[in-house]
Amino acid sequence: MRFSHAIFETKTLVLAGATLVTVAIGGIVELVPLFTIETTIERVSGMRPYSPLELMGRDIYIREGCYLCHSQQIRPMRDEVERYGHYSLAAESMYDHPFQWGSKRTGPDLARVGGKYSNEWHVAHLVQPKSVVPESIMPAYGFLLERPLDYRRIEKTLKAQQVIGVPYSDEMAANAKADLTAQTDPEADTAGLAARYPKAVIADFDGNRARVTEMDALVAYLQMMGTLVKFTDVKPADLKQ
Amino acid sequence: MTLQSLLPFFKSMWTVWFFALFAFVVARALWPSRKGHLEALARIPLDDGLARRAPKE
Amino acid sequence: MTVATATIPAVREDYVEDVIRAGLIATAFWGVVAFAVGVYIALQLAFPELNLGLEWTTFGRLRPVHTSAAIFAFGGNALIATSFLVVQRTCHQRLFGGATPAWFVFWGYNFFIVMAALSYVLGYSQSKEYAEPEWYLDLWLTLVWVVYLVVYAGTLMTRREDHIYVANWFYLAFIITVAMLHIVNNLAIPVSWTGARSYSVFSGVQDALIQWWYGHNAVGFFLTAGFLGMMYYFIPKAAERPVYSYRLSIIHFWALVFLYIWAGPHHLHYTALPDWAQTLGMTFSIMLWMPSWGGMINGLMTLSGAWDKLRTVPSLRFSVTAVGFYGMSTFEGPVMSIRQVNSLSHYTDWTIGHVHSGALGWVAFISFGALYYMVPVMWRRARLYSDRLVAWHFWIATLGIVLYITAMWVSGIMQGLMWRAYDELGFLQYAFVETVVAMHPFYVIRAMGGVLFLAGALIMVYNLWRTARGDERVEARPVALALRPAE
Repeated sequence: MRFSHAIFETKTLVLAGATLVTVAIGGIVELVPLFTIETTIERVSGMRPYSPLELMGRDIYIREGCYLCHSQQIRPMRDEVERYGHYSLAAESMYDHPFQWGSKRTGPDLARVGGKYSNEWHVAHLVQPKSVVPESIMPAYGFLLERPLDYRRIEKTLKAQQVIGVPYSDEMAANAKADLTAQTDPEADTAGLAARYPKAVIADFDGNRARVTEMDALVAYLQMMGTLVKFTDVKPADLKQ
Repeated sequence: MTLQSLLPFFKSMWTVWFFALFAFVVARALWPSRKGHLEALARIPLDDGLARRAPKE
Repeated sequence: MTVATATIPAVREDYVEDVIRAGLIATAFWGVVAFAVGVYIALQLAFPELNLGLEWTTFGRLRPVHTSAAIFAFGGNALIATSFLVVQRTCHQRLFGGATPAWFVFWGYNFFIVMAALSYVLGYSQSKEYAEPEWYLDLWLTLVWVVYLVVYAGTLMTRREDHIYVANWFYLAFIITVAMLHIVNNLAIPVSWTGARSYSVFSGVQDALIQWWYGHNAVGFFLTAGFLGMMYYFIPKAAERPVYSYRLSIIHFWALVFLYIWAGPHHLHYTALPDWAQTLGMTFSIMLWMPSWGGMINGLMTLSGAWDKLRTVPSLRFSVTAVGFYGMSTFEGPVMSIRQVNSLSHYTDWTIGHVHSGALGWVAFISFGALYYMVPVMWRRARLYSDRLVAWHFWIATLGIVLYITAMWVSGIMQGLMWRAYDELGFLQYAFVETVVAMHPFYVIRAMGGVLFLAGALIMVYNLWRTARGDERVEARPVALALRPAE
């Protein structure tokens, strides 16, 4: 054999190394500035972490793959802004692990669906979409109404979110369970919840006070979407990226 | 002139480096004198590995 | 019965082949599963009652089953099986470590797929498109992938051929880059070590870019680079002539590696992603058109002067048409990455149609070509059971693709235009749900296209099964013309 094995091995490693370096550089040059350039996230006020119930609702949104048909990202074209509201800001999804912008609109965008419909409408729509939108092709999610929400791990969930940078305080984590149930019960003492999570919608979403269902959580999440940033206070300079 | 002040320059130079590197690869592939050698390599898959070669151990 | 003499290629006896045969069976099986689930959810969009009111059969839970089955189960098994064959035969060397690690890769990978599909149906997903499996499955896949890399690179390192043939470059780039993408995009923190749920360490705009850096390069390095490896081996092999230009193939490789990784941000045009990143993504996406077409020309021109092989070699029909579709979708892609075009196409079915012209026309067809070539070779048969069934498969599947992508072009562009339509008083002309209603006929046509594609695949499975059994159908087969060049 003319060539030693050593040369063969080097050739493979050189090829592998050159490939890895080339693809890694592309990623680094593109991705890193997004973390280091501070203006990437707009300077707007009002953003807060999800309330425990909203966070559980968001988990259900993810579990059911809602993002496959509904986007959460309004583009700054005239028709989109008129149809859905102010174009989406990076700041508005800064606590979304992972993001839910979506890539397809088989159904409408949901980035600012919060407050547009009543709780009763959402429940009726999720149980049987055709009952409120006769032409809808969305599947029915009636089982959410039957199923109690599993929130045994809610405190751990908030702590996990703490680790990855969501500004949940220890107080928020300690009160997670109480805040979660309080949000579904307008009669409960909700002062602490309202202080910790401003603008959280407090209601008996599913019309059944006896228990917290998955429906409660999902509707609570839908009702807060896109409602946190107060756009009347925002100046153009704040939005510059 | 500190290293810190050179950083923006090198950061903006990556496209040039990339271009130079890629131009080098293209030049090596297209260099006329290498043509015969390289095009011969295209025949590798046509030999399944038994025909002429005895195991070398 | 035809009398054409076909020879069974002689190979080194110590090549590892059982795992390749298993991989071919898995490829065909998962292909049928992927197409069937695709047809089912396509029909659901046209006729929503078909989800039967069950939580496990909603579009949201089955769509990842379809995409994972198509990309990772069908495509992945095809890549692993063909890469094991290509690396051994172009290196003249047995797989590194012998059969055992290769079997581990095969079973480990397919276990991952089954577990992933089950988890989607049961509602475990981290919601990252094409990377839905939760953390424990991601870790398992990482282990399997490392073994795959060791087997593959180990075989290259111990090769008996001086040069590493270019198909292996593409396969190696696919394995390495997918490892990098998979690890970074799936970085997550589990809520507890005993629970499935985890949260991505990235959020919002950064997560969006990392996801589409992953997502686009899953297309670039899984569905393109890997399958280009297939092209650079199986087209020359089936045509029995070397690739048109080896030098062009080297440039093709490096241009793809240099450019592709940057293109991801074109999935995020007009979003909250900063403009500089969008522009960067668009620029590189447009530049990508060049290497893509260089590669297409290289594949097609391999047959220059031997076009009659398309008539006589059944597998080549698929391989060559695949390269044509590769050229078409890599032309359409850069066009759609232009921001102004994207403002219309984004969020619509146009994207779905584009993906399927690549997935059905390029990925599936180049894989079918490889399957039709490999099954007779791996089962030591002189020829396929039936060449006519290959022709039937080809035309039915092609018709299916044409129906699919034209339906999606029309519905996508129509939906995009309806969303932005204003009436004479300056109001939005259509409510959203009116655009949904308008899609219905195209969703029916699309589903029909899918049914045809599935039917073609079932014909292929039957043909390959009979081939493996050693049967030969009595039929007239095109015979190679004995042409001699003019002297």
